[in-house]
Amino acid sequence: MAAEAFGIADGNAPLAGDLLEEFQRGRSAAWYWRQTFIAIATGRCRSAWVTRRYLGAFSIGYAAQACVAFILWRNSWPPILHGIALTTLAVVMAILLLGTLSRRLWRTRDRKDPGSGLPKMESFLEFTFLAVTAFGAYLVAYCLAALLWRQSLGEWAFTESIWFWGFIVPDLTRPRRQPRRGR
Amino acid sequence: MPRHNSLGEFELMVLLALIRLGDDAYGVTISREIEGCSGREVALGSVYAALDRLEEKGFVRSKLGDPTASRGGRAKRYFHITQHGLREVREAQRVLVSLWRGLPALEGGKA
Repeated sequence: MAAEAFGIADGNAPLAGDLLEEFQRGRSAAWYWRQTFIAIATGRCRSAWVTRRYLGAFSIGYAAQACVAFILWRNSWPPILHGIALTTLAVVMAILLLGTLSRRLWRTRDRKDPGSGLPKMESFLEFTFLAVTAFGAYLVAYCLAALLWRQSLGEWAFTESIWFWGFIVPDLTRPRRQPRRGR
Repeated sequence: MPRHNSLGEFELMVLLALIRLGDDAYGVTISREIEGCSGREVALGSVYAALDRLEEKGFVRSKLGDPTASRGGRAKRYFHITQHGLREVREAQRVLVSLWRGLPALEGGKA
């Protein structure tokens, strides 16, 4: 089925089932293909809209990393490197912990009262969490690499790109959340 | 500027269809309900896109039913409106009715 070929059915099997059900009830082949292509198109648009938030978060994190990397390089790093590495590591660990706890807390409250506007807060926390994690993870890796292997900025820029796209590309193809089974 | 959680025309139609269908609301029945009332063909993909948005806003919830052979072994996804969704529909109704009231050009079904 076309919806499966384009990967839409993977995240939305009920939609693929609905299309098949309607076709078997006597809808025309033209109707079926028209509906399938609309489903593919809207599925792709929807997916892009959802991942926009993640792309935004990683882009901000990436830009911040580039600025810090440049400052460290301009200041010839060594005297300040140890302090920055340790402080950053501590901050990142704290943010990881707080971010995870906050998300769990908001999700629990959100289930109890979905109308309280908390989903907005959850999105904000998630965005901040991703941006800061992207920033912090790179910075820690950057400092460690500089300490252990004494890499140059040029070499690091290459590995940094791999890291960045390694995060972004899998996120674009991330499967959507499935509803729970019941009833 | 519109509120983040405000309802679009199609979203409102989907919510009203959910209320009318009760426990039997899934993609096919929802699209048929809207088609029956509006007289226009409705794309199932658009219905699901609207339902996903409404679920994110907390206006609807969904559950998967059991897979059936007639659907190629795929389960139905049943939707129902939440209390928050009901409040939002009532609010949309209130706003539309107040806007409609006192418009001589629209009285008696004449446009």
